[in-house]
Amino acid sequence: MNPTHVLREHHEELRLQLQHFEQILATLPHLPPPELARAVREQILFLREDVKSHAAAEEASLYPEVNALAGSPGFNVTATMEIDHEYIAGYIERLAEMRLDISPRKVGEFQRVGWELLAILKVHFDKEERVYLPFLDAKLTEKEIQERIVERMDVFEEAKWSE
Amino acid sequence: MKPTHALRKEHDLLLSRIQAFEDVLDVLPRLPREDMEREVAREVEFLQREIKSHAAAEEKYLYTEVDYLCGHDRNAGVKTSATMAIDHQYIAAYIDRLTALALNINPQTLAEFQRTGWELVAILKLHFDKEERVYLALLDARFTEEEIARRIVRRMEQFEKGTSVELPSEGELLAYG
Repeated sequence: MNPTHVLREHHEELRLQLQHFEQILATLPHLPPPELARAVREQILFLREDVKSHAAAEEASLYPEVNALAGSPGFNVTATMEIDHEYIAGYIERLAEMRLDISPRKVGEFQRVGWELLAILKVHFDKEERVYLPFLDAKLTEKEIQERIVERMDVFEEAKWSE
Repeated sequence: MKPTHALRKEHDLLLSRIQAFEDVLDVLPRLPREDMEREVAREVEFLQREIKSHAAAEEKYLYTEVDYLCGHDRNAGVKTSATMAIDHQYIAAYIDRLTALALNINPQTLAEFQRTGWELVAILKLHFDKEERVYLALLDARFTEEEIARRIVRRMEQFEKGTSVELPSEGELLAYG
């Protein structure tokens, strides 16, 4: 088992929920207005509370470790991945705004923005798993990852929830 | 004018063309079959010829410089451009998927072509923004315009034309130390 297995498991859980989001996007045009509004509201809640807060927690705990271990003084090696997070948050807020007056006429636009967000998220997760997590696997033990990253991410996400 | 202005100008040209691709995606469902096939073939050719080769040229010359500037040769750290190179893999795969869909474009396969195209455009816009805000800003801080032209721009142009170009020499790259 890789030292980063807890982080990988968390990604797997999010991936399953994102698959569900993708399935919901496909069914939206067939839903009557009250169900459409409810389905959209539930998905926005998931995107904000799980995806957005996960990204913020990574940026607060995982990325600083990657930067510290990478040893590139004066340069933030995770800078491009932070911009991914910025776009992900922007897409989620755009969907949240569209939710306010969702109607069968506007479902197509909502689907399109949702698909674009999913595409960016899939690439982003893959990059973290293929670049950052193997790097951490090589540099830290499971215990170190638990203490320095996982626990801090948990605390960060809990604090966000209680805000 | 920034030292990387030639690279930024190239991005602007590509972004205008990507915007035109996005506009075509929107009008495709309203086009007669023959026009649809022609537009799709033209867009796929643009993506294959210009976007894919631009990405390959960047990876070979621009990313190599960025990695050395970030000290990739001096530590056992993560390669800075590794995540951006994965973006390129996805971009190439999306383009190949659109090319395969274009071979049998019809009103039934159109929705998939549009969705794939929209996803690719979203990834490309984000990718260009990252290069400009992070990599080009880094190069602006370290190189003169002449150095960028010599070390990156000319090599990328020759590579895209299909001419064999040498990678920066070890001596050139180690001079960053």
